[in-house]
Amino acid sequence: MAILCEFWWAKRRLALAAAVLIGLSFPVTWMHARDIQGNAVLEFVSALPIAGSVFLVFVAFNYTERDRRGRFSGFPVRTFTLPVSTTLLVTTPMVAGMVAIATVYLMASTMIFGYAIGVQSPLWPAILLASGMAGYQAILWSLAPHRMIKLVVLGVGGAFHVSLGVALATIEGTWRSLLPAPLGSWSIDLLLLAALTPWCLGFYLGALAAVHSQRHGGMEANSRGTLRRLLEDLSDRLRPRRREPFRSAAAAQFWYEWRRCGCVLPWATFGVLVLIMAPAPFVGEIRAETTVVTLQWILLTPIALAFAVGKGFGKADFWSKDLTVSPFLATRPCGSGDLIRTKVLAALASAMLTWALVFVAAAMWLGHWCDLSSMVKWVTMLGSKFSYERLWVAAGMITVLGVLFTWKLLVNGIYLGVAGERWRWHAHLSFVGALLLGFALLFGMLFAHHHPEEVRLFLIGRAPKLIWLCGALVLLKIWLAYRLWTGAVEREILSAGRAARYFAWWVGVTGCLVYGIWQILPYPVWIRNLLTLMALAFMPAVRLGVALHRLHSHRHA
Amino acid sequence: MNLPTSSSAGAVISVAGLSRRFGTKPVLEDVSIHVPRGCVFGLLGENGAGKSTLIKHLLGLLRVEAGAVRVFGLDPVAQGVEVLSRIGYLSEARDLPSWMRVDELLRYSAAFYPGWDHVYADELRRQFELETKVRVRHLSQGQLAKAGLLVALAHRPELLILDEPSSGLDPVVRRDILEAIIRTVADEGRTVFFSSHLLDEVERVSDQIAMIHRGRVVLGGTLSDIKERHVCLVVRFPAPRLEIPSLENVVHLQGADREWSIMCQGARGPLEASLAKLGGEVVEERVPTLDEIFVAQATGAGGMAR
Amino acid sequence: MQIHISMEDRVPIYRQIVKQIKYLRASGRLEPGEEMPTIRGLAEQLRVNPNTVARAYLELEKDGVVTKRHGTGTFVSDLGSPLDRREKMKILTERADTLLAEAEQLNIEFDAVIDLLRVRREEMHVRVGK
Repeated sequence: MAILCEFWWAKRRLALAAAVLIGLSFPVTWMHARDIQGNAVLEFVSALPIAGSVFLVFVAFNYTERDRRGRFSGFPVRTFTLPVSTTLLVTTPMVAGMVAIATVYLMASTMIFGYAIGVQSPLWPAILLASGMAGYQAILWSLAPHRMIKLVVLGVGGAFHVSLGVALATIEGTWRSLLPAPLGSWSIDLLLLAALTPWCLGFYLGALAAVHSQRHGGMEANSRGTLRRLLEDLSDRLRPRRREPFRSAAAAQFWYEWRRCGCVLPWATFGVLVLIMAPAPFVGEIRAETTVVTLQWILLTPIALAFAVGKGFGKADFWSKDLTVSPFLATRPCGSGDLIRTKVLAALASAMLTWALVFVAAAMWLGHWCDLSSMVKWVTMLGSKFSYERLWVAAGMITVLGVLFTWKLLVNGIYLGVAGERWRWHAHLSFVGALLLGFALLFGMLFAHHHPEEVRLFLIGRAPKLIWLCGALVLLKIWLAYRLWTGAVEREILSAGRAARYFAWWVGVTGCLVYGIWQILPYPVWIRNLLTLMALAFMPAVRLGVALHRLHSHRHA
Repeated sequence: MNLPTSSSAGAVISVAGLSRRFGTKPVLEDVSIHVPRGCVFGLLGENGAGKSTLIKHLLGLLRVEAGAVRVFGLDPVAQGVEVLSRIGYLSEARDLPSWMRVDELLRYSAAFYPGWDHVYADELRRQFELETKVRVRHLSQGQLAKAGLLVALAHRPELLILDEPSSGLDPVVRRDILEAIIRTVADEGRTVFFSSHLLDEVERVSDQIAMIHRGRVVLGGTLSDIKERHVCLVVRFPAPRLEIPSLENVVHLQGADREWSIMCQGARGPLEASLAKLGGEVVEERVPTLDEIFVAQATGAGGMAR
Repeated sequence: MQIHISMEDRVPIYRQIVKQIKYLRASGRLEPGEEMPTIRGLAEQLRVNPNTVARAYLELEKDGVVTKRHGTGTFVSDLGSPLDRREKMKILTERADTLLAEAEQLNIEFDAVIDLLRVRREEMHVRVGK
């Protein structure tokens, strides 16, 4: 018991957050249970705190700690020297975790679903979650040194449990009707219990064995040795052997940024594309509709990934958990402005390479395995309606826009990671999350509205006022960018020449975008103006300025 | 006690009245240090005394709140790039990027320093027995320290700053590192500034030392000066005493009953007079080792029974 | 040239070097005209500050133990100068002082000490003779 308490004290912030979330959301949802019942969107929203609390319980029971040199996180090594048997060490967190999650789920289901729907909810999700928790902990402990493999196995295990859950949910109704009550309502639970118990026992024994061997054998480099070294040898052999020295400090820093942050996006995109396109040779010719949908997903991949990758782009070392700039990097005789500049250039190279990859892959895929008929039809229709050269210009613009947007997403994350303060990151993520949630709610309410036509007309009527507001915001943004950049030049973070060059670049790109918009979409006027304003606000300026100042302050604390 | 402000004209490092707080806790208080060119300067202090903070100020990693810091006559924050390109730095944590290979690390570092000597770097690498193809994360502690020292030395810096170069290393590696440092010093009078709590190293290698205790400089000057200034007296009293009141120039008192050991800094006259008044008689006097001086200064003055 | 520096000794490092070199020369392990290691080399070997070694060399030069020839290095000066015997006697005087102090402390009479010296000398001659 003492072990658990001691551990929870260390993670008290998280536990507090979880408790608060649960404490607030449950009663609230409970009280409004009747009203929620009809509206699909609100039902979804009310399910979120439950999902959140389940997630938080999983995180809270992540009973691991970084090892001495901080290379990986595994079972807390400091507990090994306590006069407790390994069995007790392993059993306590695992059992506690399972009990906790089962309790949370049961509380949620009885308080929210049970009350509202009036049906006794099934117990089997609790059992499923408990076994999931056992598996999660077992994997975390036994596969501690292998970061990548751990993630993969966790993903597979998680997917397995989730799909089992979904499958059971779908067949539940039919199952219950088949068997006579009261046996029917309990049979699934018992069956699942019977099936998962050996599974859980397996997890438990595996975790026990792993922790036992760790305790008495140590988890030094040899454990992750073979696979890691193989991979490293391979990458060493494949990498071109460059012997000649770098041309300049900026080139060296660019190489550094590329190796750590820049090549993440292309590799990730490659992985996802392989996943998407892998079934193609086996399925045969792909139908036209599927082609269009999959193509959309393929083109969206870099953007979605860039959003995630960009959050980490500002970190001094992309793969480290530590946000601070290490003394090694901070004492490089390289100005802060130059550091940011190399990050920005690496992001550009990253974005261009990723899109080149996407185009080549998409072309290959479309050419070999797809039915292009519907696409061709669509293109001809558009061509006849507008004109072919407009279409080409639009296509070109969309490509450039895609690359630029990916680049923008990567660069926009720089200011977050550059100053080494975790709370800013968390604040940003929660803000984005809240924003997305707000939009989702808004759209949900709009679509659920009884007279959608009215709503649309209402919006269009208000459009000019909206545009003035947007215009004011854009002007504010431009003014902020101006102040930040001139400030940076004054404080000698960045040379005036570099700043001027970026400004020229900014003007050039924005000018081209605006020109393109006016050529392609001159009508209706309000859409054109709105798009122009969006183009003006498109190129990253404010956030880069903030990043410059933050890095300078962080380096010279 | 501060160092006399000697001719700071040619000083490589010049710190005057530096004070720093982290929150409400004062970490450095009115620290003044001058390091002339070609000097090996040892900074002594217990853990948490403020050595690393001082070094971070020299590198421009911390901005000056009160006082002034000048390295090569320049401000390390305002003219950071120029100052840093003439300094070789080995941090206490030896945080080299763990994913790089040794040859990549050298190639990468070479681009930042105009004075990088590839031949010398290679020679040092062979001397330190570092393989080129090994990744930094697979290096042992000793090899990591050597790699860090290699990166710091290879561009023949004017100033070498080492933060606890021997911490956590076995004696064999410590010897190698000391040798490398001596070799640097012997080369055309380059300056070395290092912090350590390994006294015999500091004693062997330094020209001047400064000792920091709780953020203040309590000792400073050349090694011989300091040793001459301190004397350890064994005093015998006619009757057993429980305590001795604090006297002039006393750094540290230790003892019980009739025999007490007093570490005295500076003039002995007033002290001996006071002791005579108390009835004590000096039976033995000797030159204390730096170790004893260090411990005495660290534990502070006061009349305490053992 | 094997010199050992002890940090435990209260004697400053440069003085230890001076003493040991004088001893080596007096006992014949350093031959006259032999070249001394460079300041830098000796500093690296002993892992001490070159300035310390420089100071030691300066003192040795002042005492006439070594001579510095411009451009070629430092060499051991010839034996036979009157300074030599004085140096030798100085070394022995220190040892004698230690011996006498110990004898006083252990409460052994002076005559016993003289007898002991004679006995030890006999023994040494026997050993060397063999």
